[in-house]
Amino acid sequence: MRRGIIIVVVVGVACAAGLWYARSRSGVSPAPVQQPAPTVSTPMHEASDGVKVAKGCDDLAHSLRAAISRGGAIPEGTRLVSVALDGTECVVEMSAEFAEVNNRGTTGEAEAQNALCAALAPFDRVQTLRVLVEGAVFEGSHSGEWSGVPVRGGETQSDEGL
Amino acid sequence: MRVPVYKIIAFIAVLVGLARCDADPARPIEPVQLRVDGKAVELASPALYDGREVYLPLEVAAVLKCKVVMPDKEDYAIVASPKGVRREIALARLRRAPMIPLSSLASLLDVKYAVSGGFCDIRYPVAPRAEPAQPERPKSERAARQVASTSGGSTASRSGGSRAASATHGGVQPPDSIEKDPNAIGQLGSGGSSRQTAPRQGAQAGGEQTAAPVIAPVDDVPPVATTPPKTSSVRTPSWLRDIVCEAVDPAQTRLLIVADGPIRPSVRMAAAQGVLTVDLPGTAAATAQTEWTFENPLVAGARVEAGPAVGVTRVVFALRRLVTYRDRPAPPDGHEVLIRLPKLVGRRFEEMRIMVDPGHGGPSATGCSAMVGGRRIYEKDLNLAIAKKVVERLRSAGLFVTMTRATDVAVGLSERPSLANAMPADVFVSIHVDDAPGNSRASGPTAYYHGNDENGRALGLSIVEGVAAAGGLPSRGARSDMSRFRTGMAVLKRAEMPAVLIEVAYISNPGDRAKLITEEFQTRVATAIADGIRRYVEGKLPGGAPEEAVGMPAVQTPEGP
Repeated sequence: MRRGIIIVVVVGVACAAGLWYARSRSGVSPAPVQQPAPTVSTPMHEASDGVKVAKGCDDLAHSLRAAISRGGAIPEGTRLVSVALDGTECVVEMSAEFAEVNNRGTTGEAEAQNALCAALAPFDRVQTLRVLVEGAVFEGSHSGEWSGVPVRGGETQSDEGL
Repeated sequence: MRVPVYKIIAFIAVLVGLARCDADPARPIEPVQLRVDGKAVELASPALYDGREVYLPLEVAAVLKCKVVMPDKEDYAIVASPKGVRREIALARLRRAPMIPLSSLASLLDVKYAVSGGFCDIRYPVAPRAEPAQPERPKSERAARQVASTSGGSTASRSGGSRAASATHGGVQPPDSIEKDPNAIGQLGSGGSSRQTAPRQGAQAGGEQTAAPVIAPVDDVPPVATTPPKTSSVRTPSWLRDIVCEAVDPAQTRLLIVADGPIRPSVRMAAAQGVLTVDLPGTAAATAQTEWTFENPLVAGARVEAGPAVGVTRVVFALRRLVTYRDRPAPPDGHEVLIRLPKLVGRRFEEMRIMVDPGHGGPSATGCSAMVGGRRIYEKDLNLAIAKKVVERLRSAGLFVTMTRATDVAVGLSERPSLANAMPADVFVSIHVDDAPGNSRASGPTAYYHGNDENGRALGLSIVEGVAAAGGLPSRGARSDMSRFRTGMAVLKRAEMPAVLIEVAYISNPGDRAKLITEEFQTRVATAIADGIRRYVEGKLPGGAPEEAVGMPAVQTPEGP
């Protein structure tokens, strides 16, 4: 009886090892790209308005503040919580009010995304945008997660001539 | 029972051997040395070749001057070519790293490649111009450089040396008649009478201009261009020479616009009018013939006319069927539009499996909303009401139809297309209502399809134009979701079948809103959506198509992607 159990265990381990080996050698198995960490461990300082800004990101924060205070595309009451850079991705954390974007239709959601991208587009060191709300990657109700969003070079259209 | 140890070891060895067989030993993966235009490229991780495909590490993007964006939790990347063309490319995972298949990248970048003797050679059709590294210069200086170059430069680099020569408008002195009157292009475009006076652009380009650079060397640029040169405001036109229609097979036709000189057409389809329009900016007609009639199953004829703006010539193709289309340059100076019947044509409509997705849902995902008569109406409820009517109509026609939600419950964004994929559905339609905060003028339905999906576009056009007509609203056309969001729309990009997200109207528009809440409007829209799906499946145009080119309907500029 005991020997039988040992054999089953050994065979099971061998199968698992074989499968692991096969998968590690497999040529074209699609694999998910690693999700970026939701937070960035960069030293931050707190600006006078309470926004946490990573070292060297003051200019990004300034541009984002201007875009938010301009209103319109960004929901009223939204506050900038933190700004950091993760490689070439600008990680922007917004207050919970930003989630109101999801109650604004495709057009409203796109305008909000475009406003943030436009604010970051002048900075060559920023390639993509990630938006966090309450620590989690924001999920637009039409566009999905706002992570890896290119800040420039898109073909996005405004609603001119409506 | 006693099992000898050697038997256990042998058994394990067999299992491991089988597992290795599963790893496809017939396709050993080998590193290959990458060379671009003959120059070896050093990469931190090597390019790999499995006998059929070359896989490149993501860092190759910098070498080939593309940009790569990888959305979270995805097995694909969005790759943008230096010309700004973006495409989703499925990634492979080799040696635990995501890699780009070279075949996909080559197709995007329009390069050729070959693998032999441990080398992978990538070759551009024309050797890319090595732009010297240049320090940041004042804007005025950049403007001066643009004056020295031309707007045809980007086209030139795409299509070969001869075109590069012909695109040097900045260095070409156009004929006086054109140089002095910018409107001359439009005048020529409106008819063929001036054909005799029109010089052949190709002949000019083939002469002494061949050595002219497309972009002037930085050192040759004047420091500040206070007054632009006279030629900067004038573009020498390209000449439209002929229209060719070739049936590839009964379901596929190739339309060729033959021109002298580079053209950058804008192709759009208006399904309601049964036409495909090709606008050619900076192009003048140089053909005696302005109308063509074709004996073709998909296209009835073509007509050349003045475009919607000065200097734009428009070619209007009258369609016999609802078609999908894609266009590309046809060297040396033409443009090709390949039109096809939608992919489901040939199957019976009643056999279709449809997934209808009422957008939003649940207590927190209400979508947009508005106050009407002291009561707040929510998008999620409007979407569900219309979706139920769509389902009712499709089911009454005998189709197998499922909804992602039939009540007010929350359904995840990724779950919706997954349900359609698992079904598997032939068509996916997501129903929404739009909102333009602060803009009460925005009105009418919009259909979104993913990326450059031509079937999604045809389905979207078929639905949106029907909804607009049924609802008495202006059609905003079928648009790529990438024109709205840089990474597309979540429900569309994961759907594996022709998929459309239809925004039936704007809740922020008082007129649209008043209609949206009525049962009658919802019923008419639902019927139009069901009819739009049917037309797409059957490849039919709404109201039939003109049989002859002469007397084709007047063309309004349709909304395009």
